[in-house]
Amino acid sequence: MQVTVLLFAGSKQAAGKDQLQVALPPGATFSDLAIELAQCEPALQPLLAHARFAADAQYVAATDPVPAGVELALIPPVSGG
Amino acid sequence: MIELTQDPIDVVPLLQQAQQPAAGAVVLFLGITRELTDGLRTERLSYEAYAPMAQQEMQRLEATARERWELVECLLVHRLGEVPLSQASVAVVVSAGHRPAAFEAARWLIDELKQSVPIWKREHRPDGQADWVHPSTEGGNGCR
Repeated sequence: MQVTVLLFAGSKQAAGKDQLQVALPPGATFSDLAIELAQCEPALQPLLAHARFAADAQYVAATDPVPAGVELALIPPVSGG
Repeated sequence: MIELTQDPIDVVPLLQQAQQPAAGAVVLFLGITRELTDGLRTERLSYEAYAPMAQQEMQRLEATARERWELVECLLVHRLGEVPLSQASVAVVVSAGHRPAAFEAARWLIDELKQSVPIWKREHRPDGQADWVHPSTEGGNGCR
């Protein structure tokens, strides 16, 4: 399954683009997605260690399976306020 | 009410909205852009959001605060884009029948907002360098 992950702030800067596409095996979790992203874009590695993921604009757990057909985003540590 | 805006935050209408007959206390918190962080000078800050999710998270915070405390009004506003020094990047306005609920809810809202709402700040330095701020990462380039 091919998925697109939105990137923001430092992760966007590190990757040099605002989204990444990676291929995942069926049943892959968000932990697997993090490993895949680190391989595909090594510059993301420092942030990936602390980042969370969102699916359909909601936080997910690392152990959740990656759903198909919803918007996915990498959420590096936030600094609003 | 929650809002993301590119414009300066005007607190007067927010306070007016919070001042309702059922309220006996209004708490206003403003987060403003600071010049010095860890001894480094910042000339201006800019903020980026994952807007649909930021709005959803802010709505969730308002709903949770209204469940936990009896609030009359609960307003969360975050500014995006460039914010000059000393201007408000975020406003939390809470009104309640009595001050304990208003103080507690406002404190909880800003603390939670800073933990969970997908908004990021970038500090622009006088030498032209600009760093995204990612609080829990350490030792990375420009990340704190």
